[in-house]
Amino acid sequence: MTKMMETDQTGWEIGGKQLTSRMFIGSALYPSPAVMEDAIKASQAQVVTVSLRRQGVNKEAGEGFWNIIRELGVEVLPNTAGCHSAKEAITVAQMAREVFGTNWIKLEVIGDQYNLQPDPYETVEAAKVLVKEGFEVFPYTTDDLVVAKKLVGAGCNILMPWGSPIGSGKGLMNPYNLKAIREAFPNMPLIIDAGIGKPSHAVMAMELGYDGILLNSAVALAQDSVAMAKAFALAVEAGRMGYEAGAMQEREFASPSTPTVGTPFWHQNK
Amino acid sequence: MTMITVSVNGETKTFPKGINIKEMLQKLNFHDEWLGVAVNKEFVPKDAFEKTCLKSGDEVDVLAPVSGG
Repeated sequence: MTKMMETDQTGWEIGGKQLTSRMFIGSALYPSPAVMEDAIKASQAQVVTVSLRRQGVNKEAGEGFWNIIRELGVEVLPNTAGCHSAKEAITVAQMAREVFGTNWIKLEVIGDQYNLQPDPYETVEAAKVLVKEGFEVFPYTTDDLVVAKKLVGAGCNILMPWGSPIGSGKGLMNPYNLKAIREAFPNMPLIIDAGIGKPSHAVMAMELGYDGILLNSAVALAQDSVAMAKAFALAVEAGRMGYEAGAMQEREFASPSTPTVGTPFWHQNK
Repeated sequence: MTMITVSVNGETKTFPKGINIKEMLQKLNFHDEWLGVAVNKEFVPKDAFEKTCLKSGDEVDVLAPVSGG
């Protein structure tokens, strides 16, 4: 029927896997494990981000979390959050591959503690090693086109530029840069990761032609996480459908939409 | 028996000399099904747990799944 219907049926591919949802969701910061579970279900996301931390005294809580995620039957995307060097990120990625049984890794190497901006040098260094070791690297990066090119040069098949700093909810700070990355890599899966705060931001990301979005705080910290997850699912679908439908050309001046032929006589002398 | 001192997740622990990673995890009551281990920031795969003996001063990280964004 419509292009979107075709898209829904055939899905899309990223990292060697076929998906129908274009939303990736994080598993952190929810008010409770039950809310997390319900929100993930409501989002219809098929990819959930997870992490690794030191096994502490609260072993049962950790196991409970992991059991919920496993029972959801989703793809997991482990991250290297908290790493500040290529070396640390490589070690965590190797551990994550064994623990989670996936070669997917969200490569995150932080370069600045204030705005959690990724360190481009360390991220590229880590990406080179991880790609050689057989990882499918999902690099969290800024909206810098040159860094994006370096990551692709390092062997990344996917890019995840930020919309704005992690957890800020500021949306897409620099649509121009994000558009430039889309145009430079027309066939590469691109995900907007970080900074999305409202469903309208998700629509914007999808209208730019991005293949998907990754978010966490926007849903987890909403007053009603489950309702917000559903709102984002609709926003991602609407944005993608709008992108595929092809927006009209923007114009500088007004142009009447109602036919001018047959305009009543009282307008004709104006 | 000669003992060694090892840091496990930032806590100082004492073990008999010659202890391997598998034995250390058992002693500390860690279930190794969903755990990743690094010694001195180097990843140690599960199939190397038994043959990897700890030395005094080693820093061991035992990581488990948690929520993440």
